[in-house]
Amino acid sequence: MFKNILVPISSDYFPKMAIRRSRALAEKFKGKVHFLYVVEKKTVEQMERAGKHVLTPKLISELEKDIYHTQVRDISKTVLDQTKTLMGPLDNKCNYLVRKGEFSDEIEGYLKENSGSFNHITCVILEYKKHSNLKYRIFENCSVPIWLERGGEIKKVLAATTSISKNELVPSCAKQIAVSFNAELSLKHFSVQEEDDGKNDIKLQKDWKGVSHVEKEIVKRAEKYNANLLIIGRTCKACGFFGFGTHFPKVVIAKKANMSVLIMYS
Amino acid sequence: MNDPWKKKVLLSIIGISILVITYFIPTPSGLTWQGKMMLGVLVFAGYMWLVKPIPIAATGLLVLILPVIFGIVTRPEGFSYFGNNAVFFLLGAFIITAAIEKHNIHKRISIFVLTQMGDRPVFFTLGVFILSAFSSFIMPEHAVAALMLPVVLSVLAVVKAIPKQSNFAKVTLLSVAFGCSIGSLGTLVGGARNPITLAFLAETSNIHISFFDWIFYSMPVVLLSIPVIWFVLIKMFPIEITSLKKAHVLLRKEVTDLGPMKPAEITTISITLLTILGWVFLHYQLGPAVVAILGGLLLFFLGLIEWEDVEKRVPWGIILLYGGAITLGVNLYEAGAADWIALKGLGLTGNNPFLVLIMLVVMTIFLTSFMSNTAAVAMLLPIGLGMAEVSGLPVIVTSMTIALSGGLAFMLVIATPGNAITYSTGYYSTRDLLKSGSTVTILCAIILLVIALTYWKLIGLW
Repeated sequence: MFKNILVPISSDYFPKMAIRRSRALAEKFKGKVHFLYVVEKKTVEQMERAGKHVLTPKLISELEKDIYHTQVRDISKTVLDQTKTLMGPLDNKCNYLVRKGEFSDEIEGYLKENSGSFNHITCVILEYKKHSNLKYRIFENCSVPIWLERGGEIKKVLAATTSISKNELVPSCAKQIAVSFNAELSLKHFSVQEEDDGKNDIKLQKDWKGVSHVEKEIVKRAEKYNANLLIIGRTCKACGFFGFGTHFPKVVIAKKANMSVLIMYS
Repeated sequence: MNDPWKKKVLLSIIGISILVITYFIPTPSGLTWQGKMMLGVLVFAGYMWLVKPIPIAATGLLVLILPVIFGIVTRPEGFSYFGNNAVFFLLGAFIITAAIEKHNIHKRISIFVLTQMGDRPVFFTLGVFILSAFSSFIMPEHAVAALMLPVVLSVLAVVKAIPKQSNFAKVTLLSVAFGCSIGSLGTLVGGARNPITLAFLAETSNIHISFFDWIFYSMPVVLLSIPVIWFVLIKMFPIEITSLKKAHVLLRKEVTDLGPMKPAEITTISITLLTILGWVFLHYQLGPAVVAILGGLLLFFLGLIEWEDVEKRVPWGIILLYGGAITLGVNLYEAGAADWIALKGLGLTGNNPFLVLIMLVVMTIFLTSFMSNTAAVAMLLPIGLGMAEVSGLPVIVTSMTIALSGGLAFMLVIATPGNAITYSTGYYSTRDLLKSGSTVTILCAIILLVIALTYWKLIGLW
């Protein structure tokens, strides 16, 4: 699963913890890390939003060109140099790429370009930053597992499956990670139907209040267990009343949890 | 509502409904029908400038014609304020700025000044701050930010500053943004709100302030704020690098590459200086607008600038905003709406001058954080005038307080073009801006209030 790891670096944020985690995973699983530095269009275009009534379109486009040029030529080099330092001896096993555009689009584009090839990406590592990367569309649209890094050593792993997101890969992957990091592992199955009755199941039938309840329960159990990594399966999109307020269970879990979260895809 | 067209139409309908509702609601006591409709126009303009379903210049045009449509003013009156001196003063200033930009004069001066600051990063950021502030005395603040950016970016690239991590980059870019903002308070040229305040005072109260008077009243606020803001920045973001030797070498190389000053540059500088002298010494004889346009025309006569150069750099739509802003202010005052709002406002503050000034500062800073500061100042000037009349404060004090507070927009990216231009480089976050901007706003507001209550009293403004 960690043969080809993608670490997208937004020009808006330098994900030091994600880079360190990618190094650890690449070392343990003999993988290759791809770094994609994305010059965020939305940041550069802020100028247009606030300055268009006092600056001419020509001047704005010249300034934007200047900023893109500096970002691509100088800043990306500085950022990737720092990344190389963090990767240490693994540096020669890494791919470095610079693009400009929208963060999620560029990641999706990179995943598609390498799909089926030798560089087929098997996992994306993002760093958790309050109110930022959980807003990225990639969190919903990504077709490969996403590791949301919050830092810290992995000593305890909790893997959770639910009856609405049965994912066979979760237990096997959790075992691999726990073994390689020499961590303690707990497997939990969260059941929302009466017939589910696994050994580690937690029955929620009686006080079932909707999907959010399962999310809360998973996070609560992970925190109680003092897990440093929570592995969850793919969940379906859940809609609110009349299609309003669509919410995504995995995003809710990732937001509420105070540990790193790995979201698996079948 | 993902369709931008639908969104624009819906937002415009909401705006128009403000006018329709105003038309049908009963006129509040103490207000004439014209006053009620002008209040509607004020709320409508504020909403349109804030939400921007149509360009702010187009709203400026609407503000010109709405009083005519509602019969508040006659047709000749409705358009007369558009030809105000302030509009043409700004036009002339834009032409001179375009010439400075064209001949790269600002780059030469910036690089020269920065090479004199030594290779200590702290002094470099101070140099950037002072340069940005002082440049805003002779050029509009947005032009200064745009011109400073390439110079500053080249230095940040040399020192390998990492976006969002490097405090040196944060302090440098925030020095540009905040320097431009605070410098724009200093003279009539820095921000369009300054000449508009002048025009408003002349039209409504027959008070005439000269170019030099403005400097005399506002400069203490600027000069006190510069060290305070810079100190806040370096304390909030302790600079991590110790030497700028490499950057210094780069800047010196750039000075060498620029070569000796060309005759066109020397002539442009001379005309700019002559224009400034004209603003100071010929204010009452010719007026700042005539001097500015004379300076601009001289640049054309000497072949230092072509019309295309001006077109490339001057967004003509903004002139409509300026015209609309002056019209809105004068019409609000003449329809009695300003006095009515002032009376309501004084219900909160009483006749206490200190509380009145605090309220004006807070209201202006709040509005200017979300909309064009010219628009915000134009909306509040008549209210300030009304408050002055009711509370006994001199009109000039409330107007200057509003105009200067209009430049204290440090907290949000969208508040000023300077903030937006520097933010778009990606070196600092919105949180960095909010954190430093809120502290700086509070401190500058205190400085402004202290100056208003002491210095302005001392020099006889009230």
